[in-house]
Amino acid sequence: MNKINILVIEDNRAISGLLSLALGKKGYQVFTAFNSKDGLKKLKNTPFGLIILDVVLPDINGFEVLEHIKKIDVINKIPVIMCTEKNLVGDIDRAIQAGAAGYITKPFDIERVLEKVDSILKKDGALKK
Amino acid sequence: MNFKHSLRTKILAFFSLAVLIPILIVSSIIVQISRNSLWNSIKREQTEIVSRVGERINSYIDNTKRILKSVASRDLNQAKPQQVRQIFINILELNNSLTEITLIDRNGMETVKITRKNTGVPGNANTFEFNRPLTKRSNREEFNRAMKEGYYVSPLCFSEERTPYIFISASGEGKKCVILCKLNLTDVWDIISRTEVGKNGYAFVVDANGLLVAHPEVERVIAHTDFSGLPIVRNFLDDKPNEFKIYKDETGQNVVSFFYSIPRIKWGVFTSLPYKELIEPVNTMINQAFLWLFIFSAIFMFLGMKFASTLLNPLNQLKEAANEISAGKFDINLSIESGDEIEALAKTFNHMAGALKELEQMRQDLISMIVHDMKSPLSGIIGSLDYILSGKVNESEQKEIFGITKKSADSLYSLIQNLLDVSRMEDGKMKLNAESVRPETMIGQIAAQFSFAAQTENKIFSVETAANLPDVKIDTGLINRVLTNLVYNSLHHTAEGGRIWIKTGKTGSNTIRIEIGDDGVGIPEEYKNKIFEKFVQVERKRAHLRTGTGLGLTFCKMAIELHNGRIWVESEEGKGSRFIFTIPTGL
Repeated sequence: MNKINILVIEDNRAISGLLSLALGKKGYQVFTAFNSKDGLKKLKNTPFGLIILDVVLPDINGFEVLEHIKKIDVINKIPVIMCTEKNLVGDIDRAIQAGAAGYITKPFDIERVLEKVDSILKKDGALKK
Repeated sequence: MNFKHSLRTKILAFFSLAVLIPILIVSSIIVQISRNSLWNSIKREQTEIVSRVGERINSYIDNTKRILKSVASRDLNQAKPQQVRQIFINILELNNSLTEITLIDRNGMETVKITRKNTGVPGNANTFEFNRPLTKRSNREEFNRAMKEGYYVSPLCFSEERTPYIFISASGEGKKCVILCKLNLTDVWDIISRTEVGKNGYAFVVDANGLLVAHPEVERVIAHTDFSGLPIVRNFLDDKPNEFKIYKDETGQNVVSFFYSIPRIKWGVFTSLPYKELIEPVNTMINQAFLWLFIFSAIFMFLGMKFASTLLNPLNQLKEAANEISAGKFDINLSIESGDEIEALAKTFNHMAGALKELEQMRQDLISMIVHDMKSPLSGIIGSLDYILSGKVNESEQKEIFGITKKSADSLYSLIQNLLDVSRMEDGKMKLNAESVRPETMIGQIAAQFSFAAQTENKIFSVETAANLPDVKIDTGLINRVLTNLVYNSLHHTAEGGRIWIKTGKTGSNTIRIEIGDDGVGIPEEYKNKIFEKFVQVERKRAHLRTGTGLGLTFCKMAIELHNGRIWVESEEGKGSRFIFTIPTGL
């Protein structure tokens, strides 16, 4: 069975490292990008089953990246989990509106993130194969 | 004045005093001056009246006396009665006031007597009556006094028709005879009754004993009224100084009076003007002055009130606005259009409120930026610990996670250090711990620190040091953190495969120049200076320009400037940035 590719676009090296470790352990192939430019480049070259996208990035912000992704054919089908600040209600709404499949808020419990990733991938059908 | 009163009270008090005091002073001066000049002019007028009337009466009697004297000087007893008669008729025809003329011989016997029949009605021819019963006057005053003193003026008498008259007698040289004549005083009465003294005043004449001789009210003269009791008449009779002042008249009312003493016959001519009439214009003037005073004070009070309002309303608005600012409300737009300094003040105030609002916004931006920057590593730490605590990681994974945790903790620490240092440097409490160091050594440490991180992130990190750089005297701790911040920043804003470099060089003989460059996202033109500032408003979209190191760039700028150096950024958006700083080699 081919591993499902997951792209983590997150500039916080610690979060990014943790996610890589945990998702890798779960059997996913994890790619990391520390800014949107790298993220978008990787999206073009590699087929991904899921994207975890942080809101605050060093170049352009996560919502703009999401909106950009949703405009690109094929790529726009990839479910995106937005990573937002805990209490910013507006950010969560904005994420859902922009077409995010789900969201996680920082600081997060890795276990919950894994569950969320699983459930979204199941819904998307990628795991059924 | 108690200066603790409100501004309104002060203004009103000022206005009132500024108006009332001058008006009071001016009006009292005017009243005083006009009272004096009125008094003087009335005094002049009355002096003139009494002397004019007095002179007239004097010359009237004097003329008669002179005629009599000149006639008496002739030895009429030797003349024929016919001749005497003719002389007397001539005299009577020349002097209409004379009604009778008598020749008395030295023994006091009347010898010739001519009486005017009509009383001198104009147009009528004079007719005369001769030698009416001749009487003996040897024991009468008019004879004896004339013989002794040369002439005599009798007290006032009245004829049956109530015509006032006096007898005047005179003896000639050698006292050969006495000429006695009866002088009609109707003319004197006319003069007195025609004499106008003010509006309600009048003139009167008394004789040497204070008996009334002429008065506008004829009845009083006829009744032989004695005026010797009046104070002014008393003064006259007692030869006291003639003073123009307030006296009581016979009815007890206050009058101002003056007199003229007719010489020889010792009659007095008096004026009497009610004091009320004299002070009436002065009183009117005082009343008017008070009326105007009242009107002006009312007007000025009103204006003062208006002025106070126009002054105070804006001030109250300003006060309320200041209160709002104290309460943290900066949306203030005062619209005061008084066109003066207060309007300017209000505009400045609006401007200040705007600036404060902006500052407040910047402060909030700064706080949220700092909070964000502190939350990031904390999220990493908490996430890591949660993961370890879940027990689902093996030992080698645990080690890896602890590594991540340590890095997060380090970055949190350096961030807090940045904040503390910025605040210390702002307070001027930072003391440099300067030591001489070789630039290569310093750069080498940084290179070692970051080359591994760059490699893991697929970024190319290079160092290019110029040869023969002099030693620099710096606080290595601080400059190290400057370099760390800048390199971290470059790493943060560079994509995979990107380049980050450190270049050293010299500017001039004793300044080294260090450049930390990258080919990352770059910085928009308008932010090139702002990114170094502590308080700066950054569009939400551009927030990332300021995040990551929690005032890291502000710290760099302050630290470099503390070394008397300079820091700036050269950048093109999308193509990369080069942070350059220069430091003098010797502090």
